[in-house]
Amino acid sequence: MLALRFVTACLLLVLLHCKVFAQATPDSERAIGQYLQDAARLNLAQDDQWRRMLYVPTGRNRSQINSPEFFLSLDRNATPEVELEATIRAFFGPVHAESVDQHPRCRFPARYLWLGKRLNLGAGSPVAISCPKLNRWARVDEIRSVSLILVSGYLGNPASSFGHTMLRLNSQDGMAGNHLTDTGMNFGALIPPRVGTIEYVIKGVFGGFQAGFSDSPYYEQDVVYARTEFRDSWEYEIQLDRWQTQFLIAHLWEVIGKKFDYYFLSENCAYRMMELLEAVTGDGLTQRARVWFLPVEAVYRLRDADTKRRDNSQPQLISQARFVPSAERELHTELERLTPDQRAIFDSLVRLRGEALSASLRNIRPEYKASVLQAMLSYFQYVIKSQPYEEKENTPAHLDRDRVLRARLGLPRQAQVMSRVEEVPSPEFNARPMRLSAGLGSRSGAWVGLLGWTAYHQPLLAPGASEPGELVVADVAWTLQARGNASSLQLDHLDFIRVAKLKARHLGLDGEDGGSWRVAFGVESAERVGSTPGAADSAAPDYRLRAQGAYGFARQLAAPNFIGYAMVESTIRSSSDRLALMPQLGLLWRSDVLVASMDLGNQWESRDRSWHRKAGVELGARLRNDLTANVAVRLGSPIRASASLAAHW
Amino acid sequence: MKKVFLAAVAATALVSGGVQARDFADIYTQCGLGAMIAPTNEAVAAITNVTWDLGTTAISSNVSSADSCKGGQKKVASLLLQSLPQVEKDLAMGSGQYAAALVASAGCTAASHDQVISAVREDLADLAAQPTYAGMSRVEKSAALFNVVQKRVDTDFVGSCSMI
Repeated sequence: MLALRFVTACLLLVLLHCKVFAQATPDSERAIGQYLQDAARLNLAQDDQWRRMLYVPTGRNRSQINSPEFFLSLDRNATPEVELEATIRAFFGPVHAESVDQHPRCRFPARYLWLGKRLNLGAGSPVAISCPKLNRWARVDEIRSVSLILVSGYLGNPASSFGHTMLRLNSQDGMAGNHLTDTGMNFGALIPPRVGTIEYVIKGVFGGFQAGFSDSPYYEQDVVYARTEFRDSWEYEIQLDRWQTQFLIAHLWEVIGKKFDYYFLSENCAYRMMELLEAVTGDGLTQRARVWFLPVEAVYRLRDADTKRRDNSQPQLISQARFVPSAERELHTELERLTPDQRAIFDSLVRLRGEALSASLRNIRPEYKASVLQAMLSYFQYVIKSQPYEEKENTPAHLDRDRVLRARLGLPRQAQVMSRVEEVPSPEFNARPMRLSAGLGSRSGAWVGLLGWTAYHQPLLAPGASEPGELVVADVAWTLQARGNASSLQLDHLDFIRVAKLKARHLGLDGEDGGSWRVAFGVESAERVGSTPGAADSAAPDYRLRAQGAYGFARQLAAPNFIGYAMVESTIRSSSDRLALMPQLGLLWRSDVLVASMDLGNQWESRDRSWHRKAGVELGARLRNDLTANVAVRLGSPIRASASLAAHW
Repeated sequence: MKKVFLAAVAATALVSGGVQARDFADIYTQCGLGAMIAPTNEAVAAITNVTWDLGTTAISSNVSSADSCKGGQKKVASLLLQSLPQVEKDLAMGSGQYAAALVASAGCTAASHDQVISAVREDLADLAAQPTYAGMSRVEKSAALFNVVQKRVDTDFVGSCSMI
């Protein structure tokens, strides 16, 4: 009996050990040794793709990822060589059936795929394993393509001014055009609770926040960007082959949840999305990254890569692009689609509240009812989302919307009539945002040279803006003038920031916020203002701080790219001629390559307590995405006429 | 807070037919759905209406969520909580991308989408006709619509849909 118990115990021990199979056997040790030799011979540790998978930038030897669990060597300061050896060894580690998802091959499937390709790794592996959690998440067989989504800038939120980029994994299951349940991939900062506004801005720009990739159903992004912030977007479908698609999905699995340092201007969503694609395709999408990497830069890089590919007869990365309008743009189109009678009914109904609305809803002419109620649902959605954040539940607008909902549910089903929304060109068709210009101007009868540099320039009526607006950051201009036998380079102005928003499309309804505005803050020379006569001969230029703000209204005239505006602008300066006030009228027009503007104002100045007429006409032409020309004539300005060329990048 | 919430959900269950009201509450709490509908940072909220392009909240991810929070029930609950107005509008019209997303999240076959949308639309009409519906919170309305979808999946569309 004792012997039987002993034998049984031994068998149990053997069976238990059988669950932990694939220990490092002599065979696997030999295989590991051979793979390490092959990896060294091929110098895989310094392979661009391996370094990109580890997020080790060029010229450095340490990963940008801060999470220790990303490193099989358990050292976040590990070199690519150390991590490569640790990875190969770890792939031969024991497989425990109850925790197979934790095996390195399941945690780092992209590394396994890549090493499998470069070293034929699977041939020496003792067992093949299946990764249930990875398989459930990846749905590899369902993914047919990947899209880069570029979301337009949003002047209502400083952090959103430059736009946003993300990826979407497009499934075969998505119905034509319906990608709401597909997986969206975002990269963003992790903002702790109770962070103050100033800390938020400083840490966002200069570092201090951690960031990471996250996945979510794409409808979450659609709700936020298109239906709450009313931002347009452009989708660029990226063509990857089957292996590249699998590799991208596997690599996303590896990096989701891992922490990076975050820098709003440089190592941001656009940069990280390009890093992901760069690791997959091998194209240099982040090389020569500059001081900042703005969302539209991602599209520029893809287009540049496609140019090189075309030259080398390789398939293009971007297979197609699609404009996705915001809910606000859809609402405008929906209202324009209504017949005059339907629009009159709509206008009268949206002015009603409560039971008066309910009663009137019952009396809509049957042949108009479905269309009018569809437009009203879209309208109330817009109104509700435009409300301040605090008022989000059971407001009068919510209650009235529910009345409309009930009325519509009482009618039969009907396919929604979706009018085609006029396409807005992508921001990629604007001149590139950084600008260096040179030209000639006329001042006091003499020619002056003009030099300018702008860090970021998005002009009024630029393609890709959800609504007309200007965003200029760090705009510097100098004048170069001959004085006797010498020439003098003087700062004309430095605008730290100039922002303008022209709300040119209006719903035409009571209570709508239809204001347009403009702000600017910077430094200017007294000469520019013309407040020191004869200052052109002065050896010492006089500079002052300037803050400007304007408010008024704008209207689309006849065509979307033809806008008129009326504003009142006030200026405060840090000098004796401190205040100025100017009512102003203006016209703006833009085609694909030309932009024209005209403005007329009358400025009251505190320096002499009198009015000064100001007027200007400007014509710009986009010769290429990297070259523009500009001519201008100005009345009431020291530089009366100018012509310049600007290079953009 | 949870007791009040569960009581509210139970009340809507009575309105909707009383089927599996508890499931929504469990999914809401266990799968962290509450965090989706309110940011935790007031400075951020002051700057922007809902979101912020420095990023998108904490790294919430299907990768790290519990297995019990990966199925159709969680997908439907999450879709409703985050896009209820869009779903309601599409159901009211009887078509649209969000209505299609709802039935896809409920695991319904493509062939059954049309019928499921019609059936759920009918139930939403009954719900919306209740005097209490207008005053319900978004969470309560989501729970109520979740329940009607679940009920239809469990009864009329057993072979065509699966929310597991």
